[in-house]
Amino acid sequence: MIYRTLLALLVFCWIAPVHAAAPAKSEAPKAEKYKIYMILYRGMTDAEKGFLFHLKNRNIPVDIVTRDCNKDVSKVSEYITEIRSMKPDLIYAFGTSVAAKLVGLEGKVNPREHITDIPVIFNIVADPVGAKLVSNLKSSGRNLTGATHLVPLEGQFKGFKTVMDFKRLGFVYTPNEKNAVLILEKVKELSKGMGFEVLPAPITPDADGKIAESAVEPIMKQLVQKKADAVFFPSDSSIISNIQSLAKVTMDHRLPSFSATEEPVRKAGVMMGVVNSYFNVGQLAGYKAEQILVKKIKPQDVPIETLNRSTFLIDMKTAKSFDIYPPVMVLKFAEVISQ
Amino acid sequence: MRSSKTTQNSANKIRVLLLTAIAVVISFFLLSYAALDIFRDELTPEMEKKGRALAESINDLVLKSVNYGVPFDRLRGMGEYLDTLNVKNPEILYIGVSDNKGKELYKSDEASAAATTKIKTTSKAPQILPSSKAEMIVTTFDISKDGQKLGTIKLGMDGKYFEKMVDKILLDIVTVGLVSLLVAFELLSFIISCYITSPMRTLYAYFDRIKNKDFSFSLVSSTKDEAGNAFAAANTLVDKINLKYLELRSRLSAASGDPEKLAPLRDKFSGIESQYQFATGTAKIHQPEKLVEYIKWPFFLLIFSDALSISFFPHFVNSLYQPLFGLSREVIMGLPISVFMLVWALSLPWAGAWSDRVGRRKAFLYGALITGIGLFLSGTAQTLIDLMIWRSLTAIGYAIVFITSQAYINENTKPEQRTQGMAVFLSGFFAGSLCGAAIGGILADRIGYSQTLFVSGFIALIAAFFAHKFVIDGDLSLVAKKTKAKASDYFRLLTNRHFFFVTFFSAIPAKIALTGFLYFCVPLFMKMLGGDQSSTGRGMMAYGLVIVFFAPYIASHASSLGSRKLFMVIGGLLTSISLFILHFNPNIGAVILAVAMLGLAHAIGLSPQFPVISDLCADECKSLGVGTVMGIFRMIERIGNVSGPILAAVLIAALGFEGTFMWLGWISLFAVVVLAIHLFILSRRPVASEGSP
Repeated sequence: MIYRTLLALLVFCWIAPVHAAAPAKSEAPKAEKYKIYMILYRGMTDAEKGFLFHLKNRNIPVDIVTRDCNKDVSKVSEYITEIRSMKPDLIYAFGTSVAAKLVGLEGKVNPREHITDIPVIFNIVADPVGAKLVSNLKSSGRNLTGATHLVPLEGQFKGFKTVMDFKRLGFVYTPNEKNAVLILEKVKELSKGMGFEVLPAPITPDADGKIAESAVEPIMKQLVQKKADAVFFPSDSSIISNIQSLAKVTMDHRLPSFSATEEPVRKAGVMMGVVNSYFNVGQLAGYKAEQILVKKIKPQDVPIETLNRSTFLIDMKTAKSFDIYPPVMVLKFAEVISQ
Repeated sequence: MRSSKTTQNSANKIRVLLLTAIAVVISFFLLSYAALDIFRDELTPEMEKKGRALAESINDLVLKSVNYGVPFDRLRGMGEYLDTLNVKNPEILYIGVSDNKGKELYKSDEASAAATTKIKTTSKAPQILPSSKAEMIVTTFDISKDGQKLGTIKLGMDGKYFEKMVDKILLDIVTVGLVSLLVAFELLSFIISCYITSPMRTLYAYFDRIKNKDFSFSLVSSTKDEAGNAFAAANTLVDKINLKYLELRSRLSAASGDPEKLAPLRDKFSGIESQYQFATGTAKIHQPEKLVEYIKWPFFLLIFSDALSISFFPHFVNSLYQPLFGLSREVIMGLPISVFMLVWALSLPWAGAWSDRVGRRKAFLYGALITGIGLFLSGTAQTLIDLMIWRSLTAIGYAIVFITSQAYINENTKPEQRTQGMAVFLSGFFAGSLCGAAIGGILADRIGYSQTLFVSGFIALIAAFFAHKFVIDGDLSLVAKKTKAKASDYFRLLTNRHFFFVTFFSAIPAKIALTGFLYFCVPLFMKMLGGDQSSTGRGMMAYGLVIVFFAPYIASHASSLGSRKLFMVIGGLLTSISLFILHFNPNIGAVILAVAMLGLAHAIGLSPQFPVISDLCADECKSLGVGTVMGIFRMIERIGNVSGPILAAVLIAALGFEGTFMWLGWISLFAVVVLAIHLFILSRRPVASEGSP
């Protein structure tokens, strides 16, 4: 009798922990496709590629419609009309200005001008709170969520300081870009505690949105005169689109440069950046789309997040030209671009 | 005659214990030395391996940087990098990188100057000094790129590291030694009880029967040991006598002849028959002596098994932490302990009744099995809810074993020996508790929390086995049916001022201190101070140690009502003092002192509680029965057990640890002051409850 009981209890012991450790079954995706309407700003970037990659990886069947406003935000109004007739399941918006035009700033939403009834995911918005899209990253309180790509400023500058010390930092931006202006203020705040001075260097693109090298020259000359040690390029789309000319002139004036986004380091020889790759941020946005489409979570219950880990990008050739060598512990984890 | 026997007994006991101690200590030391030797031999090659692995990772990073285009002599931040390796590996005294001409370029900043000079003089040829007797074990590693040597990494490791490591675990080794000793004593006492004392007593009792002219019984002599042989010899002797009797009887009844000559013989024979008893037909079985001590070893093992987790249980809960019901983190951490206490308290009455019905052996067996399974499953818990379910299961088993052991002792001791019986119970409990606490901490540090719980489960199963084999049931029909306490009984007792004050101002605060302070605060606070599980376990061991040492002395001095009252007050005072000491000196030493003082406080203050109640509530004890009053007292006292962790948790969440100690100290002080006022000032003689004649 006792041995039978023992056996029964032993069997029970085997079952209990297995049951406890059983993983949750993953959801099977719906048979029909989800319609996603994507509004791009300057063509297909790595962000969109990351977004689509995540959806493909997770076998989520999607029907994609793409519209590229080609840096003209006013086009968004046309898209809104199209959206109302098409009724997609989800809308993807690249960048702060597109998102603002699409859903309106918090508290200033007009259901006739803005989309209020379809979930919207924004991607590559540097500062959703500062841009007044939301007041609380944990919930927008409306049909809006998304992924931000900005690495916290303190983290960026701490990273820069491990590679080179700087006392005066030039901050190059276009005054029209709300994003950049907000960040300038934040960097000024930060600089007090981190022992450097910010030298704002605004530059305005021409009518076509271009910044020629000739326009950059006087700005750089001024910064050299003010004894700048280095130059910082924030997340400013005009700056990023014109980074080639900006970076070249900066180099010519023997000024090391830092960037808040990856393109300038990867493609224009800017010395370093503590960045989130657009591709990875895109994947995060894709994950949020999955939450909304597949798990049926409402956008106001999906928090707005950024990546947990960022990448330290270094262009070694540029660094060498300045005789600057990053410490070995940075090199251990950094992504180094060219030799 | 009696006293010389007892002194002879004590002398023999001491002799046996001493012999055991010597045997255990000698084997322990031999084992330890052998282990240390093996350890030393294995350590050096392991250190060399580690040195190589470290050198390789340094090499990899250096080459990575060089491949990125950094010149070999322009590597930045090497000092900080080498430092991080140093910090993670305390046996490293020096790490340095030199160029291909031997000039030192980089070294870990923390390297002591002495170590650096030592490196310079010993690194002529790259080699590893094999014996750990060397001051420094040096490893070198060449950094090469494309076949060209760029430089050399030099690593110096502490030759004396082995000794330092042993020093660190010396305390653990000693603890394990002491606990082994205790466990050996317990086991030895048990074996002696089972195989020597019990048979001898049985034999004496049997001879007593024979002295009383009763030859109608025989002994069970199935075992093949000395006892069995002795029994068989006794049986043979008695059989011979019985045979002689039967023979004589048949001869007499069959005899024919001169009736005059036969009559006196027949008369004499009947005379003998009326005085003596002989075995006719199948002999009756003389039951073997059941000893109280039979229960001590299984009980000790069971308590030991559960106590293994005492020193780390709050940490285990913490690792499973999940927000629940909106409660604060601290309260959630105390919840499993409180749940255990609650389920234990609530199971006791039911467990007692069941144990009465099925018999002590079965009850203990199942109780131990349930405890073992509960412990094992607790180790598998993945969420807090899991854990609380399994803890509740464990509590049910624990309650069954607890009440069964108590009942077994009560049933197998004569009333005048009850205190001794209690002492058996309590010493088994505290010995198991303190051994478990100490060993559990050491185990947890090495194999982890869950694994230690698995070991607990296994040990509980061993306890079950011993109960199954050795615990003997008495006659079940003889077990007194206990009357259940009614609500009116509770009310009647609670309205008795003495009962009320002793229970609420001495007993309950004491239990709050036990579960709230000792079981909940101490492990958490020790961790906050940087102590590891082993030191926590040792600290908590102090409680049981003090009780085991001092309780017998206290018991012999607490004989009068006056001294008992005084002891209760002293106990309360000591508790508050210990808490205040800890509040003002929040360090590891003070924790151990406070725990020891709590042990002293409880050794002095706990045992007089019920005697005082039975003295001062004589009427109730007479009409309700002492057993019922005790049952009610214990039941209400458990409010303290259950609420302790929660109270402590709430205090910690609001005030932090030091604030909590102060508050608990004030609460204790308040309680004991109120108690003292009541006992010594307000009541001069025993008072019955209102409304009684």
